Amino acid sequence: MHDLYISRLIAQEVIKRAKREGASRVLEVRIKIGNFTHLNPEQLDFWLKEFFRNTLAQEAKILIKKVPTIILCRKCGYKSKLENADVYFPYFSLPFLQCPHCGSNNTELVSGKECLLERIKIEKRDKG
Amino acid sequence: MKIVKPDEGEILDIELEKDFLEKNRKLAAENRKALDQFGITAIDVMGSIGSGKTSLIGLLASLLKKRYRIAVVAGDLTTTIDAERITRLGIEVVQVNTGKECHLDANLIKKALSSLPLKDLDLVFIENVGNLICPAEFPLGAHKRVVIVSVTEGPWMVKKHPYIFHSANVAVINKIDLAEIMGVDPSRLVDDIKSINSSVKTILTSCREEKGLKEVAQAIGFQV
Repeated sequence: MHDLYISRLIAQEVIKRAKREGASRVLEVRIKIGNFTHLNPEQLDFWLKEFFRNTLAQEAKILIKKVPTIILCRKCGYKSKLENADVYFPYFSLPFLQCPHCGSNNTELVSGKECLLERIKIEKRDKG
Repeated sequence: MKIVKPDEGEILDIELEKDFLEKNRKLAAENRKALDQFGITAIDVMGSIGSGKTSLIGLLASLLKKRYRIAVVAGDLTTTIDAERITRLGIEVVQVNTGKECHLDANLIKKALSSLPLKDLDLVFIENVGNLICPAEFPLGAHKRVVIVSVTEGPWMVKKHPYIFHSANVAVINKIDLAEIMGVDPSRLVDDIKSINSSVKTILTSCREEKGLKEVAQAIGFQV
């Protein structure tokens, strides 16, 4: 939903860091996105390519890895991975944070909220 | 003789590990600390366009302004309509125009708070941008998060936006005076909310008929 906003932050950071390191170009950008966010990797990829256009990152390979939604039940202690699926409602893809073991919705999110610029690979070329 | 060198420079792999949502969460924690220093309670009011966010804040502020010193941070894309509505009630307002963004973030709230006389305040209402999706992802540092939905939005509002209720403390179902005409059963909306988050306090209101407002004030910790 706010992929444009987040993509701009990521792109600015990538270009800033690459310049600071004296890069001639950015080869690779690795990103991790939690499944329990309103961020769509496909849209992020689209906007990043737009923001990278005519910059030293324009040829960068964008690698986006999804992080699963994992919850820990505060009631029974069961830890489980929840899928983004059409299980609950056909309109919505984020799961309810409900323990599949005991049915409690008193749960804690262990992972799934990530929006991580993990690492970048750059090329440095000596001038002259 | 010409020597052709391979077209390659030094390759560097740089670890950044920078989380952009985490950055907002940290700023939100800073906002909370700043508010606590001055003993201020902040309430983040979220809801879709036309659900009654400004009406609810205006009515609550009118009810509570004799006992508490109140200010409102009004978020909107570009207009000052809401801010003007609150100003007419004699309440201090800071307008935050988000421009293109679909939500308020902790950084915008930090700026807004810096323009308020914090030592002279007890309660700050933050009116989020009309949207049930994005604000859920961006905590602001408020002490309580209130979600307002109205029966005119139809029977599926809660089911379609479960995420926002995960982070809410109070859920207000507004315009119940129109429930019958709309053919929407408010108790089913309450059930939907409870199935997502059983700890959320649900209250039925009609801002037009000024019903349920005292209960909302109590739920956010203030006595009329």
